[in-house]
Amino acid sequence: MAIRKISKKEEVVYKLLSSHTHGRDYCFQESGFLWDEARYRYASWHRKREVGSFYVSDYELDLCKKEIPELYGELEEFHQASLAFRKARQAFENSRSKFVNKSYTFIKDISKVYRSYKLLTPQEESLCSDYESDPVKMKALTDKIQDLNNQINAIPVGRKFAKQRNPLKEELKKLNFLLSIIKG
Amino acid sequence: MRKISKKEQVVYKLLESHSSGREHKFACENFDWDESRYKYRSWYRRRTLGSFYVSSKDLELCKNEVPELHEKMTAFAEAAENLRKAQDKFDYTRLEFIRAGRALCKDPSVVHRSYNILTPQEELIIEQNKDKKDELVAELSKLTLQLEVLPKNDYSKEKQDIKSQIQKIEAILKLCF
Repeated sequence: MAIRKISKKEEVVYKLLSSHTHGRDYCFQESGFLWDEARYRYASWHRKREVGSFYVSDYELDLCKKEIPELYGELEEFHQASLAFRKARQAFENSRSKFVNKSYTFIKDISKVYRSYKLLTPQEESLCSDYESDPVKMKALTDKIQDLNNQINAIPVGRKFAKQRNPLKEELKKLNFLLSIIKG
Repeated sequence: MRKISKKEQVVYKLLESHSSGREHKFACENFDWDESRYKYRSWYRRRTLGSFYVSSKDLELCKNEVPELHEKMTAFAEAAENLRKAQDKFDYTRLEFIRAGRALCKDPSVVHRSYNILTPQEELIIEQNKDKKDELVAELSKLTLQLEVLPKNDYSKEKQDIKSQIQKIEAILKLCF
């Protein structure tokens, strides 16, 4: 498998995404943090205590109001803090999702990010941007490759025609290399 | 078997789901957010979940190298900062609530032990005698002295009365203090 080439910008995006998603090995997938699941699982086997809930139920509030009004102030404040916390969590997940999705747009092919890569040289970068911004140029390149392939196929097999075939093969190799750089 | 008021039983109920429970004397353990991020996944999916923080180094890098992404990253960093504040506030208010709840328990060090609920009559006795500890103790010692003065083989009504009074005061003291 050929080593793919990526731009400097894409490499920076990899760096920025790695600590906020599952990482490059998993194609920067993200999954929401399951807060309640975490609550039950994170304590070790030696202290299997249940960590306090993240919510205050209406039943608890009602019970406290009726039976222990002197504790109601604290419970109400705790309830408000838990609501604010829930909102902050939602905002956090939402903005992370937006950030990750926006980052994807800077990645050429998300399905290949786990593979090793090399950075494009500045010349290669400018070549890429040239071809990417001009679809006509890109079409001309693919047509040229197709044409060369056809020409090579038309030459009869055998060493007798090697002189005729070799220059064409050389040119095809160059163009294929160029295409691989552009397509990543 | 210790006896607790109806109110204390309600406190137990309220504290149960927000602390480590009655069995652990309502000890309150702060949720360690960073630890939880690594621990809650199973061994088979040991992926690290996204961090709860955005470092200033990452922000700077994004600003310099990928300015198109900076806006989204700033919004994310602000949301992460708000989340941290909300977490701190949540932990703090929970701690305050648990402290206030524990303060309403007669003896927080024995809450893990089994209990019976006080009857309304017993609650009334407690209400009537809650400030009379010294008086009751003095009365008890006085009656004990009176009892000691009486001969051992005396089965008079007076001795029986003193004994029953002592029992009554001891029961009140046990109930109230």
